Amino acid sequence: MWRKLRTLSKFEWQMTWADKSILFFTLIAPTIYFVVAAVNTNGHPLGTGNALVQLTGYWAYIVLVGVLNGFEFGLINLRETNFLKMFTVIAGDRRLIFYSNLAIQTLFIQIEMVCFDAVVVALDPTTIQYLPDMAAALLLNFLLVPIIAGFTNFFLLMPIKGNTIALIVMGYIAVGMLLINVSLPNEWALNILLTSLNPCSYVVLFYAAFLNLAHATTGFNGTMLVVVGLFYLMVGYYPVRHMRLQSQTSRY
Amino acid sequence: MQIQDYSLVLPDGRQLFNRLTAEFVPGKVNILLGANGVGKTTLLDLIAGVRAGDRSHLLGFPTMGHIGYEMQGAPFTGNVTVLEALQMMRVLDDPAATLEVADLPADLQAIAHTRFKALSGGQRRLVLFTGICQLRRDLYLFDEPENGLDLRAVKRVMAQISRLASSGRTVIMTTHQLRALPEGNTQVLVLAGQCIAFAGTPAEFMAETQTGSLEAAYLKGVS
Repeated sequence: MWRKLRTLSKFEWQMTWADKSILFFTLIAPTIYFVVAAVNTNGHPLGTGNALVQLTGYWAYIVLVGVLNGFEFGLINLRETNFLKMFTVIAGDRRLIFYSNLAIQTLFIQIEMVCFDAVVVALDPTTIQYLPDMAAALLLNFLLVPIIAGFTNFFLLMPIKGNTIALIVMGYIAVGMLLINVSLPNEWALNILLTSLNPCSYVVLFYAAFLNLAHATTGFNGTMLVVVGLFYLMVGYYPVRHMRLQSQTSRY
Repeated sequence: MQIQDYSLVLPDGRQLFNRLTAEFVPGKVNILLGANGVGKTTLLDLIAGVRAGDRSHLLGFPTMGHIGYEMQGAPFTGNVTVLEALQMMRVLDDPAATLEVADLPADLQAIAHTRFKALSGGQRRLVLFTGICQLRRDLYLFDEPENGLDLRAVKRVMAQISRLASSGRTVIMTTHQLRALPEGNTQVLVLAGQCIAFAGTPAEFMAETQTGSLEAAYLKGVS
């Protein structure tokens, strides 16, 4: 099984690397936004206080868009081109293409985050003090990406066409990013709800709790992150065994 | 390998199969004939395990991973070359296997380093057909393997399918091309009226329909 996974991963790496358009949404768009912010703020795009907290918002965007555009939408495209159907039969296990794709997209997200952090340090040299946190965030991503995939795997069960899913995904990202800022100190019920349902809120709190930002490292937050994460790692992977292998838009 | 009393109603309410029973003979090319939309591809999908459904009606079929399935269409979008695609399929089957340009059929050697997206539709199908045939499987499914191929390629494909069956493997293929069928051990199964209307050798099919050619037998058999 591991050899098959490695073979499929190598192949999917070649296919993903060949299609660089994905970099626009995941890496180039937030980088442009950051550069514009740097110009408008005279070299302080992250502000003067809580700069690392600001940075987690960018990381949340890269992780969510990477998972949705790179992984979920990529898998749907593999299904629409019949790659999923044919190579699942050859590989003999319907989980293999899912996990090889997840492994490759995790690697891509890490590369994109390293590139983005390099731009941040280049444009705002004061952020060099955050290099250990940036490295820690990369390690956290190995836990975070599979959890966020669990949040969003329901897209694989939706019996709708690729174009429709693309529109829904764009809306989902926009709403998710907007909801990051809806966090009130004393509204614990609202915070639990957002962390449980909005992957962006989960990602931001995850970084904050594990990097000890804005006093987020509390027992309550830790427990909530673990419970929600375990829930999505278990329930969110139900679609892997039950997703359609056949195209939704074409019989062939 | 048998399908027994299998019925299927599509989501739109149309009944595709009604107590369909079929036996596919090992070591033979089992040719599934039928009009467009009669359910040939659906049946292959069911056998391959890519279509959800009640598999209790399927007896003796190998599981996914022991089946080679060339479906219609060419499932590649990336920039991989012909050789890379074939190497990947080969290694998935046998991790220790290697594949070089010299191992490819002559007509593929010339395009071994061509990117898949630059190939014609017929060339893509020929590459995938070659990839499926190089797998060591118990059962091979070919869904209209002649589609988009030139006459010479069709002859090569049919000869290759005959060799697979001769080596003891079970082959099930659908086709609308009755003039260049695999030679030798063949069984014809005619899918019509939601079930298998006829199963036997091409000669028996012609005798049953009192016709002199397989084409005429088919036209009479599916009507």
